[in-house]
Amino acid sequence: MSYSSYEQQSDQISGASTYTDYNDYRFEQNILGLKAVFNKGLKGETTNHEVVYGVDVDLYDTTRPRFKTRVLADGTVDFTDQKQKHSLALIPL
Amino acid sequence: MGAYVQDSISFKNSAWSVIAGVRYDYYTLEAKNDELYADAQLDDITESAFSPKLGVIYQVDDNLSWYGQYVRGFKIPPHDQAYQSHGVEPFYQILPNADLDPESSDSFELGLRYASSDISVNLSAFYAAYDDFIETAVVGVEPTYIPGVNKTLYQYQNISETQISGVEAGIAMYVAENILLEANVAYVDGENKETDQPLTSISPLNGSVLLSTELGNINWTAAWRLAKSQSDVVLDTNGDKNHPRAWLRHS
Repeated sequence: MSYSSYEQQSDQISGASTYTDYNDYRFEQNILGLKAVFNKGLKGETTNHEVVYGVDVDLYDTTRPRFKTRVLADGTVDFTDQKQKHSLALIPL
Repeated sequence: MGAYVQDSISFKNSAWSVIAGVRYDYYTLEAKNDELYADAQLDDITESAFSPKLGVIYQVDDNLSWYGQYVRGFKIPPHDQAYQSHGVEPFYQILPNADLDPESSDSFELGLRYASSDISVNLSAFYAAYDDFIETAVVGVEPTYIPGVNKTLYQYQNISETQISGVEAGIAMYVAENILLEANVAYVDGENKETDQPLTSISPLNGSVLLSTELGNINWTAAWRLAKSQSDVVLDTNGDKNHPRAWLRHS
């Protein structure tokens, strides 16, 4: 049986003359795992058997937030913790 | 969740042995609710599969054996291929795909193994037919505020039928006392049967050379990995080679 917890954080700052963007990127994952392996040897008159059997159970809880906060050049907060831009108009190939 | 059983059967006074197994997999992906991504078209995915396996080994002598095997494969789509929704403005965007199905495959392999105390050699040839092979697809482009730079929209999608075949060779041997040389080479050819175009995610020819030794309590390893560039690429409607990272070019 195993449990692991992993968290990664990346803060980035970018911008132009009129604003500064603060990107808050994270990856958070908890894994709970259970592995059971058994084996059994069986000898017959003409054959030998090596049987392996088992069960794996894994539960993953994963979140990957990517937030953006924009501050304008005059110090006004334009928006806080917004998602990354979505495409609104697709031009098919 | 997976449950499996495998039986390795050897026959008395016979050079033949058989390996038979079956695995049952069940998985469910549940998208979390998030107000920010209410329009991201995420959906719960539940799948299950039975995957049998059958192998036959013929032991020629103490060192040399032939083998053949059939394996039914099943690979669930990783959560990020089904659910990720992000990009780097203004260059690309990866869209989620709630309809992404698991990959399944029927693969056949024939091979030869030689193993002694000083050297081991493996040679094999394989053929695999995939249903719903997962590959990145370009689903759209759109102009950006930078003149000449287009934003490319990607999505992981299933290809209904693909075939991959190839040959592999590997050797491991002591070239001097305490110095182990391991070398592998593989030639692989992948084909999208929907379009009769090559699979660009497959490296056609690749290999590796590894030298390792132990000095005191420290294990030293030098590795050299090689891959031939993919020249067998998808052709567009004009018959020209299609470059997957077209957003890097200024048109």
